Amino acid sequence: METLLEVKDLSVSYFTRRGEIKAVDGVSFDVRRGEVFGVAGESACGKSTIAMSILRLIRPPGRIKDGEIIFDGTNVLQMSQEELRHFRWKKASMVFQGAMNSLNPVHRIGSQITEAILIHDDVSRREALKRAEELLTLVGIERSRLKDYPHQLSGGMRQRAVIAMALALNPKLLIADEPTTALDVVVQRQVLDLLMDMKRRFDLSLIFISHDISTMAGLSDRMAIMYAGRLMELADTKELFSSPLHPYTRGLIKSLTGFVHKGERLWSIAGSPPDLDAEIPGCSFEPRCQEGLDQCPSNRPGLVEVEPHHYIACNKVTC
Amino acid sequence: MLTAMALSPPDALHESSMFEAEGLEVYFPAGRSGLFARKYVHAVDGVSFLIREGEVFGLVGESGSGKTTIGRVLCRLTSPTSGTVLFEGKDITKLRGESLKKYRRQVQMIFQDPYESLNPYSTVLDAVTFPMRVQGLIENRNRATRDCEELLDRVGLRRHDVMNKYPHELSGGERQRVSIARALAVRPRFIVADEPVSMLDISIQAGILNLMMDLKKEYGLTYMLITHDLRVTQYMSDRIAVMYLGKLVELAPGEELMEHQFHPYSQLLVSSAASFELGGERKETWSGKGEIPSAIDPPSGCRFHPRCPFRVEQCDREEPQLRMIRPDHYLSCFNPQ
Repeated sequence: METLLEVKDLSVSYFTRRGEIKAVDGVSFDVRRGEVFGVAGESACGKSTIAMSILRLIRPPGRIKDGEIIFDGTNVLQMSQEELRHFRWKKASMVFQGAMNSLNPVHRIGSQITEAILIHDDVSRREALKRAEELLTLVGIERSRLKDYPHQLSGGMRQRAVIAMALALNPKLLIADEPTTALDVVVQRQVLDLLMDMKRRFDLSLIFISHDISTMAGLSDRMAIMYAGRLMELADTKELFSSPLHPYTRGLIKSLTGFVHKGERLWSIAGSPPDLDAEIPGCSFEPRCQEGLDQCPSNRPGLVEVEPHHYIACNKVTC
Repeated sequence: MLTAMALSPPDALHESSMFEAEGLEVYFPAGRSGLFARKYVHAVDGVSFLIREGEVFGLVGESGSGKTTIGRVLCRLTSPTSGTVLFEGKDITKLRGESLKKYRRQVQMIFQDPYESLNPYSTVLDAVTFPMRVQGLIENRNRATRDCEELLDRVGLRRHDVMNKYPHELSGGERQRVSIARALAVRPRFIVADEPVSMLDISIQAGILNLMMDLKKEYGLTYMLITHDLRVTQYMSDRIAVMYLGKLVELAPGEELMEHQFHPYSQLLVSSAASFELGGERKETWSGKGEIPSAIDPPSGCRFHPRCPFRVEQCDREEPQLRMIRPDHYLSCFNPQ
C-alpha cells in the first residue's frame, strides 16, 4: 500500500519551569492509504502530542524540536499559515479526546458544522447547510436535532456530531484521539462502528490513538506501542498480539484481564513510567524491564526491523 | 415489586448470605414538572439481591444504571427511599448512632478516583489512620503509626517512601493503594469497590486487581465490585448482576453470564465488549439502537423495551419480575433469548 503520511524522527518537548519535558523523543512511523493505524500506550507516553504535531497544533510551552512530517509529499512542518489552513480539515482532521466537550456550547450543532464548511470551502451558505444536514444524517443524527445545542445531546450523539464535523471537508486522514474514552461500552461500540463505517465510505486513513490496547486489537491494521515518549514496537496488529517481541508489549498484553483465566494471577509490570524531565540515556523502559541487559541503562536502542514489517527498539536484538 | 419468593428460593436464602436487599428504591429529587408535581430520578427502582459471605459480587451496567447508588446504600452513604437491606439479619437502613458507627467498621468503600477521594491536605499517615481515629481504635500515636506502616507494607507501598507524602506526590496506582490501605484500617469484612481501576493505566490495573484478590484471601473479605468494564468483572467476580436504568435485569454466576445471557440487554453489553477483542468474531445479532433513556421519566413496563428488538406485547405495559430460570440464574424478561 502507498504511504500517505510519514513521520520521521519527531521530537516534541514542553519547556516548563521544571525543565524540558521530552514528550515525544525521536519517533518515526508511516501511515498507509486506507489503513487504520493504532497508536497505543499509557498516559503521558506522548500519543496525543504526536496527534497534535501532525496537525501542527502544538502551542507554547510546547515546541516541535526536530523531525519531519511528510503528508502526501509535503512537509507539514514547513507549510505557511495559508497552506496550513488548506491542510487542516481538508486534508487531515481530528476528533479530539473528550470531543464531547470540543463543541461550542453556545452554538447550535448545525451551525457549527456549517461555519466550519464556510471557513474552509468556497460554497454558499445554503450548500454548506445542505452538506451539514447530509453529514449529520450519515452519522445517525436526525434532521430535527440540527437546531439543538450541544448540551441537549447525549455523550454519544455529541461524539457523532464531532465526527460529522471532522468529515465536513472531506479529509484523507482522520486522527481519532481517544474517541470513546468517556463513553459507556455499548455507546462506545456504536461510535467505533460509525468510525469504521465512515472510514470505508470516505476512503479514509485513520490514526486511532488509545490507551486501551484490547479495543485497538479488533480495529487497527497495524499498531505502534509507545512508552515514555518513544516508540517501542511497531507491527501488524495480529502479529503484535500473537508474537509480541518487546518486553513492554509482552507485559502489557499479559496484564490484560481477558488473556488469563479467572483465579490466575494477572501479570503486572512493577514500577511506574519515568519522569520525562530527566535525561534518559538508555532504554526508557529499562527500570521496569525484567529482561534487561548490562547495556540497557546506557545504550538507547534504535528501531530495528526484526521480522518483515515488525520493528522493535530493544537492546536484546541490537546488542 | 419483587418478592422474596421470586428472588430467593428457600435453600439459597439461608446459605450464609451477608446482605439481603429487598425492594430497594432510591429516588433523588430533580426539580418540578408542574406547579406541584415533583420529579424524581429513579436511580434504583425495586432491586432485590443477596450477597454471600466471601464472594465477589460484580455489578455491571452503563452510567446512570444505579450501580454506584446501590454501593452507597450498602455503605450507608445514601439512604434508600424504601426497601430493606439486611446485614446478617439486621436492617441497616434503621441503624442510628452507636450501632451505625459499629456497622461502618465492617463496611468500607474504595472509590474510582483516588485523587478526589483522598484529602489533598492530609499526609498518607493521616489518611490511613483517620478511620481508626473516628472509630476510636487508636491507643496511642506510636501504635497508630505502626499499624499504618504495616498496612502500607501490606498494600505494596514502601512505608518510608510514602508515609509522610501528600496525595499529589504519589502516582495514580500508589494513591489507589493508599485508599485500599485506608479502607482496611478498620478491619472491615465487606468492601464496596466502585470502579477501582478504571482511572489507571493497564499495567497498573493488574497490580491493583491482584492486590484486591490477595487481601480478600488474607482477610476473608467479601467484595461488591462495581464496574462498567466487563473484562475486569469477568476476571474478578463470582456472580455478576446486570443493571439497566435502576433495575436488575439479570444475575448469574460470572462465567455462566459471560457465556449465556438471556436478557437482550446483557447480550448487547457482552457483545459490545467482546467485539473489541482480537479477531473477536462479533456475533452479528443486533447493534443496539439508541442510548439509555432518562431515569427521571423511565419507560413504562420493561425499562429496556424501547430499544429491544425482541419485545412482545406485554413489554410496554407490564414490568417483568426477576425470577430464577436455572439454578442460581435470575432473569427479568418476558421474551428471553
